This record gives sequence, C-alpha cells and structure tokens, in this order.
Amino acid sequence: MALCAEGASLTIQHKTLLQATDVQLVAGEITAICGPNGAGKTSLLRVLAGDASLSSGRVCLNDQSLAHWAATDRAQTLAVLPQHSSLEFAFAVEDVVALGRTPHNSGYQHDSQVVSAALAAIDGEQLRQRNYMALSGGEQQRVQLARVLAQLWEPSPHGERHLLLDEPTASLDLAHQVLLLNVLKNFAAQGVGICVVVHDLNLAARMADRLLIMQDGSIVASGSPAEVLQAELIAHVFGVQVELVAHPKHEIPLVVL
Amino acid sequence: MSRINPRTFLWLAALALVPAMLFGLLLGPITIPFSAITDSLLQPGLRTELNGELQSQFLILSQIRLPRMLLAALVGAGLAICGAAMQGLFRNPLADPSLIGVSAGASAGASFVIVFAGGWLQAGHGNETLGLSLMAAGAFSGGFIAVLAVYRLATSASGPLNRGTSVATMLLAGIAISALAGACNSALSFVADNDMLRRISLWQMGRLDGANWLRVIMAGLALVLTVVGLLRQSKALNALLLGESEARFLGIDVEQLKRRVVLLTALGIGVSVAVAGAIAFVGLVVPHIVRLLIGPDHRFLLPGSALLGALLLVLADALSRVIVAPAELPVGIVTALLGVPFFFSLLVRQRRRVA
Repeated sequence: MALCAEGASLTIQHKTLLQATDVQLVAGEITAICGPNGAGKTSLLRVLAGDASLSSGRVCLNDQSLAHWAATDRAQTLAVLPQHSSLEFAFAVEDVVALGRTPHNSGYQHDSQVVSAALAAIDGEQLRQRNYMALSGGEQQRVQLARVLAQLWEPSPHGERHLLLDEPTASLDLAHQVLLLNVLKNFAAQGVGICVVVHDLNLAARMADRLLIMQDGSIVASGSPAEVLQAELIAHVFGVQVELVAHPKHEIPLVVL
Repeated sequence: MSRINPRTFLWLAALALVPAMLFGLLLGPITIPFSAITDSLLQPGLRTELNGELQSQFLILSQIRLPRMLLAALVGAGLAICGAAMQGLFRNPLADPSLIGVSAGASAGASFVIVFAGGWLQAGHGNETLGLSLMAAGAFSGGFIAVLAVYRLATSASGPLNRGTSVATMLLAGIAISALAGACNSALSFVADNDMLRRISLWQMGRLDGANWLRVIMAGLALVLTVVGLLRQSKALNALLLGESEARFLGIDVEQLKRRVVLLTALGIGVSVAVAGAIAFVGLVVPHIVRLLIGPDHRFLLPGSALLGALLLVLADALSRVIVAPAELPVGIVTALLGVPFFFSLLVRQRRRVA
C-alpha cells in the first residue's frame, strides 16, 4: 500500500520538468524532498497528486492507477496542501477548515468536532471565528494545513492515506515549524504516508524518514538523512560548501554554513 | 465577524418578500385597495354581480399586476442567482454573467429574431406565443453560442499543468465575444427599419410592462430549473473558491461543475433576457450585497441572492410605475437607483471595519 510514480515524466512546452522518475511513498513514513529552485520538487508533487498530465509513466495509489480512482474516494485517501492559496473570499476560519470535509458525508456535528480537533492540532483554536482574509500569511498557512488535516482525519475505507505538502513551513515561525514537525510525526504514526517539500535541510533531516534530493528534474539522491546529507553532494547540487557536524541529541547530521 | 446569521437572513428575506409582493400588486397608476384582493379571493360571488369597480380591479389584478409582479420576482431571482454562481465560478466577487458573453449573445440573438422574423411575425397578426417563443429561443441560442465559444476557447488554450479551463483566458474570451456580439447587434440595428429599431431599443432597456401569463409560465419553468440546478452545486462551488486544483483534490469534478454552471446560467440569463429584456445591475450587485451580509458560503449565498433579487426587482418595478405615473420608467433605472446607495454604504462600512 503506497503512493508511487513509475517512470513519470512531465514535459511542458518542450521543457522537461520531470525525467522518468520512480518514487515510492510508503504509508507511515515521512519523505522530505529538497533541492534548488526549479529542480522539479513542485512538479513531482503535482504528478503524485494527479494534477498534471504525464508525458509518460504512471502514478499508482494503493495499487490502483490514480486516473482510475473515483474523485470522492481519492479525496478521502489523498490530500494536497499547495504552496500558495488563492482563496480570496471572506470565509470564517472554521468554514475554510470545514471545506476539508467536502469529500466526507459524516454530518454537521461530526464535521464540527473534526474541525475543532484539526484547529487545536495547529494551535489555531483562537482563530476559529476570525475572518480568513484578515489573517497573517503564517496564520493562513496554518489554517490551510488544518483543512488538509481535517480531510484525512480518520482512516479511509479505500486504503492507506497519503498527505502531500508543498513548502508548508515557508511562512511559519520557529515555534510553529516545531509544531508542524510534531503534527506530521503524529499523522505518520497513525499510518499516513507523508511527502513534504522543504528548503531547510536541517528541518528536513529532523522530520524525514527518507530524504530525496532533486536536481534538474531528477532525483539524484535518496535514502535516510544520514546517508544522503554528504558535503560533496550538497556542494554538487546546491553549489555551496558546507560543514556537517553531528547533532548533539539525534542521530542526524547538521548542515552548517 | 459581525455578520447576520445566514439562516436568519434567509427567513427575513423570505418574510420581507410578502409585503413587497402586496406592494407590487396594489401600487400603480390605479391604486387598488387591499380589500379588493381579499374580496375577490374570499367572496367570488361579489365579482359576478354588477359591481363594476370590483370587476375592473379584479381584472387589473389578475391580468396585469399579478403576472407582472410574478415575472419581476422570477427574473430578479434568476438574474441574482446566476450572478452569484458566475462569481463563484470565476472566483471573483464582482464578476457578472455579461462577462462571459451571455447577456451580449442573448441580446444579439433576440435582435436577430426581431430583424429577420419580425416582418413575418407581424404578418402572422401578432401571434404572441409564437413571437415570444421565437424571441426566447433566439436569446437563449445567442447566449448559449456565446458561452460555448468562450468555453471552447478557454479550455483549449490551457496547458498540461493547468488541465481544464483557465479562468483568465475565459474572461478575456468573454470580453472578445461580448464585443463581437455587440458588433452583430449594431449591424442588425443598422439594417433594421424604424419599427424594428424601436422594438429592439425598447426591449434592450429592460422592461416588465409586457408581462402576461405566458411569459410568467415560460420564465417560471426555466428559472425554477436554473435555481434548483444551481442550488445543487453550492457545496462544489464552495470548494472551487479554494482554486481549481484544490477543488479537484477535494473530490470535486471541476469540469462537470463548470459545464453545469455555464449551461444553467445561459438558460437563466437567456430566458430572463427574452421575457424582460436586458435588466442590468441585479446580477452584479445583489450577490455582492448578500455576501457582505452573510458571507461567501454558497449554501446560503445562492438562495439568499435569489430572494433578495426577487425582492429588489418587485420593489423596483412597483416604484417604476408610480414615480412618473401614468408613464413608466424602465425598471433598470430604478434597480440602479435603489441598489447603488445601499451597495455604497455597505462598501464604506466594510472599509471602515478593515481600516
């Protein structure tokens, strides 16, 4: 049971965004994707989300081609948090989170409980009645996160759940980055397969069971953070000389400039 | 947020519609006392006696005022709910059905019928049913062709990453098609003779004075279909406000949703245009007012817009009959005069709250 891409390529206007990529996201694991700008991280996420027409290859969710899933079943099993949100209507925060319950027919009362729990998970209970448009960027990002959490809140009848997040930490402060880390670890512990694009290599190493490094539309390294984070690789991919030191508490390397 | 509870708002709007409709029945060049309604309903016997005054009042009520009031309510509800649905589809709170070319296309279609079938219609000794059906068919076809062209253009222009219809392309295509339909309209006016020209221009002002039971039934059937059809899309439209990809991730069939909204809107606007001419402003501003009052949730916004649209047009029509009585103002002028100040005050209040 997994979300996997097999030989997936994506070409737009003669520009190859993704080259015959194989990737497998295992339920219960957190996979982090790192790489320089334009390396194809978001393209890979869109391919896994079924939001792009592939030039070749295919994507499977729980052993069934993504294209053959019924839309509602898929939405109960796979949720995506895009990098930017284009919501420009003055919903109350709780209504935005409740949109995550769209694919479920679980009734108002139950949905309302899930919304409360999802808001509590992202430290957003006090935002509940606020106008979404009046929130700061970081608050909006947390509310959108609560929305996708609410979407996958309980086990899906259609197999293991998967959550894809594109730079969810971009506008979060340090405390909320740690909060996000714990929320994702919790979800993974419940058997949700998680794939997250992050720029901070240290944050990626801290949260991920598996780390993918992308460059020019291909995955150039894949493995545990300790295996992948090597000074030569970082110099090759990012063009930056870094030092690696041992983390005082965890068994992961720290990238130091 | 200081808003009205959406359910309370729906009840209030529905309740307010009752006195507004009575107002619409009783007000006019000939003011009819309330007792005339109760008398003719409760004591039909009175009518058959030689009670000339009551008899004529009953005729005015049943043949002129009642169909006209019902037509105003239907057209107002239809225009407003179509506006609300379009704004949801375009994710732009100030979008309008005229943006995607329905109104312009419908006008061109109706003008076409007036110019090319007008002479034949008059030769048929003014067969009202046939004439109106042809006009309605013309307006609907015109609107439908325009929307279809816009929709095709916008869908084929999008790349593989943006599967489906691009909203920006759709808006631009809508502007282009509106211009084309406007040119067709001008060309038709150019070749029309004086009588046709007068009919085209009268009709384009948007008037309800041609109301009769035939129009009410036609508009009623089409608009009930539109309203019920659009109400069923409200959950999907809510998800669409997040963005097209996000709605897809939430399990919404976005292409099907767009197809349905475009078709239902073409039907609603086309028929409204055919029976009442081009009444501007209602579809644009009523949904916006409702959104400011109760928020953007389509489950309440769509029925709320329909109720407020009906209310506004019934009141505006009653006023249009008395302001310059015994003459009449085109109702579009009155809707603007009623709605704009209200709209402005809401905008100012909102600005103050944000500031």
